[in-house]
Amino acid sequence: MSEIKLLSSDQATITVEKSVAERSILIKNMLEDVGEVTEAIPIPNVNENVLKKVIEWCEHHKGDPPAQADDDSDSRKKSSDIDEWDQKFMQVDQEMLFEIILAANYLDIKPLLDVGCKTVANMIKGKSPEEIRKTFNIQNDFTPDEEEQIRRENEWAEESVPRSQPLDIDEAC
Amino acid sequence: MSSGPLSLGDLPSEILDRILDCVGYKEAVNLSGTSKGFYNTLYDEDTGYWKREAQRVFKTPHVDSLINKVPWQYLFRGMAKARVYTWGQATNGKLGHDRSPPKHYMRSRHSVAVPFEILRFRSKFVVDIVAGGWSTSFLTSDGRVYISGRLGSELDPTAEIEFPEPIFQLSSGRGHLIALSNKGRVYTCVNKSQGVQRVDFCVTVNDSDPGHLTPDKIGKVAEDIGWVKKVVGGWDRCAALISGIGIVVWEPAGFSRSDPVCYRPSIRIMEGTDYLEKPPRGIPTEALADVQKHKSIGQVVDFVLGEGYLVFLTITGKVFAIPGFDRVAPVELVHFSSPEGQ
Repeated sequence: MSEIKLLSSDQATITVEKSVAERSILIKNMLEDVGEVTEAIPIPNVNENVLKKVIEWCEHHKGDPPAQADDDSDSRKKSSDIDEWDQKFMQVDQEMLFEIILAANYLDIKPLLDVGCKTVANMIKGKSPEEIRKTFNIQNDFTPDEEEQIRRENEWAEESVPRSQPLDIDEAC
Repeated sequence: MSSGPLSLGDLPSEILDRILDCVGYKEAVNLSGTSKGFYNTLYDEDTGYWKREAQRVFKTPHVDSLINKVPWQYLFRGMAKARVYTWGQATNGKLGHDRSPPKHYMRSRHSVAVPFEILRFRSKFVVDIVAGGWSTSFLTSDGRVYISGRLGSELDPTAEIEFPEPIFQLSSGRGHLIALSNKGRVYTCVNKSQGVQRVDFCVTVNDSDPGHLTPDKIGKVAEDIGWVKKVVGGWDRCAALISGIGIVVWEPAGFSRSDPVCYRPSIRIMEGTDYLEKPPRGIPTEALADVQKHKSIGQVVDFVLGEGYLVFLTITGKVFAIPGFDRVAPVELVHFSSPEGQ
């Protein structure tokens, strides 16, 4: 079983099974281009902690079938659709979560990027603007007037499926 | 990147777009109410958020003609509040009304002269409606299909027709329904109580065979080849526009005990409908030459199917017709045209 070495941004060398590292399309293409490598491949955008976490994910998913060509057209699947292991895996602090997402994007690991984005999406779902601000520590930089105006502008989205709206009775005319 | 801890707002726009695509527009609107940065992510025209969301939620491309006149965010708002009205001949319950129209709406006992709302669809987010001979079908934003009236069966009230997967586009013939799924699979239904059947265009093919592009080789050559772009039900036939193959026409199959799930139709490929503006790389030379043959006709962008004829529009703006479904070359209808590319 062949192994390769990766060099993180903070100069840590991590040894990993080649087939695991190749979950990253970036690394896979790189290896295809250069053939056999003995020295560590630099991953300049990802530090040791994050890289280890990403490798942990790749190891767990190494047996997954390769992504289907139609994955993208169906990427809008229900966002709650995250498998149980991945949900646990993503139970990390927010900074690590965003770091994993950035690393998945950089290393081109689409399924991991998807899981990360869905995890963030689930953190947004069902929350009011105020609750979203609290969750993600977002600074409210609107003036009270602007905020009121935006609240009114955004009201339509809540009404768009008017289940509870009284029905206008055409018969009355 | 900011010097403090990494936060949601630090993510590059393409990742933020992915996240927004997962949350859906209602939650995205809530996010836009948190700060100026997220407000701009949603409402700056450059980010294209509302266009993407409109294409996802409303599926049908018919909104495209309006894009130059109305900004997407307003178009989206208007369509999100849309209600469903039907009118016309009310036999077989095909108008789907869930209460009787007032007397002064009626022209005769079976004819509703004024558009009248179907109340049950207020909570269903209908994005497209297609009319058949004895039925009307409704496609919702989440890819479900409801049908009113008669489709091969006795009369039932409006009900859902169940498909194995979400539907993207819907069309109706006189007595059958044809649907294209999000994943590009095609289904037909001739009897709603017997359910839907998948259309299997594919037969096994020898990979080393360089032959011509035929439906046998769907998906074999390159990514874009073999994708079904549009389906149309016309009178008693079905048709599909398949990238690199052209328009294919077949008769919808009835229910079969041997395979209730799937059928392989006997199809006819319409001459001159397979031209591709940008053929994908890796396509066999022989097949490429075949596809290039119809450059003067151009790539098909849209088509309709009538009783015994086919009319299609190509990217050149020309309109062509094929009478009958035999191997006949298309005839240009010189009195019709459309601005190039529309």
